Amino acid sequence: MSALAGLSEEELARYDRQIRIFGREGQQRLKNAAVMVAGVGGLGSPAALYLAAAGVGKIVLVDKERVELSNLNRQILHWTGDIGTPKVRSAAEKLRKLNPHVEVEEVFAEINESNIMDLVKRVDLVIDGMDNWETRYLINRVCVEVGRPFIHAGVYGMHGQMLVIIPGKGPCLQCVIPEPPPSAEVFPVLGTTPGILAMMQVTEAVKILTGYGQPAVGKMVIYDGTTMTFEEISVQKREDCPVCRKK
Amino acid sequence: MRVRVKVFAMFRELLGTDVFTVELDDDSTVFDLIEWISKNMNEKFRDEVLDEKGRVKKYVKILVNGRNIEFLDGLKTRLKHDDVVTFFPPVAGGLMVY
Repeated sequence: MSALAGLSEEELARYDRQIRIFGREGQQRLKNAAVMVAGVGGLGSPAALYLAAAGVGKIVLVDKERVELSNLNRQILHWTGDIGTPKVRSAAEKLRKLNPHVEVEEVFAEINESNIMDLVKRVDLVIDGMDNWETRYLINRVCVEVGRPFIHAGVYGMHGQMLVIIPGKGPCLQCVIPEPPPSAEVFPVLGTTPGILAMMQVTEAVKILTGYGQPAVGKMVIYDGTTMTFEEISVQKREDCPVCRKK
Repeated sequence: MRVRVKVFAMFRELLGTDVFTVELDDDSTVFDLIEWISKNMNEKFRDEVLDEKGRVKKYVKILVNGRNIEFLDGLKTRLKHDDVVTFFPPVAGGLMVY
């Protein structure tokens, strides 16, 4: 977690338009907060960009991959000259330029059983930017265990879903999706799909961190870009959930 | 009776439409609706929604008037005239094949 420090004149000017929403107190809470972006790909790139712009004090980027050409249609923090560079490095460079008040930590590693607890404990909230269910379930389990909000999103083509998990306040990811959908290594995706879902994730993150508004707990939001519709599905805790039952 | 059906994402691609109306016998259930869709629109629908034991696949969500059937009577949930039934397959980066 970041050391406590007040907001400078420069910061007050930078965040003026959003301070008009949640006040200096809210902005200070953002500055004091640390957020982990788990995966700096299609979801994680725009999420990290907007978290940095909003002034979240510390952003921990975790990703094991290097930038590839086929990433560039959607992973908007990585540019043509970054091909071959670790995604955490490529992303961190831009985030620091965007907002030097934000501390960006680069973790060039795979998220697994041995490091997840340490990573989650160091932050106040986790953004799901993963591309596989195994790791999502791992992050979900540890977030429930140590009581950190986890904001899930998944995309495919022009479709996506978002679910806010606040331990103790509603269902977890495994209550809602107990078993992973079938898998594919490569799948279609238009860049705007993870962009839209990431914007919803960051909106929820900022609300939770500032205490403003009502977190979207107890519902899953479904986006369909082909018809430009949003739907909500009400979701509940599952009695037999292996994650929540232990808690 | 008549029920309105909304399908999302890959289910829509499978059926070639996103909203449609189905005429069912009175007292029909969600299961009867799935059978009707499979018989009249695309026989693959049943296998995409139900597992080999005839249960709803755990990553598929079915709603009746916005309520998840897991918290109603599951596949035995009875439908009424003008009900809206929604079929939704969760999607996720890297892990969905249709």
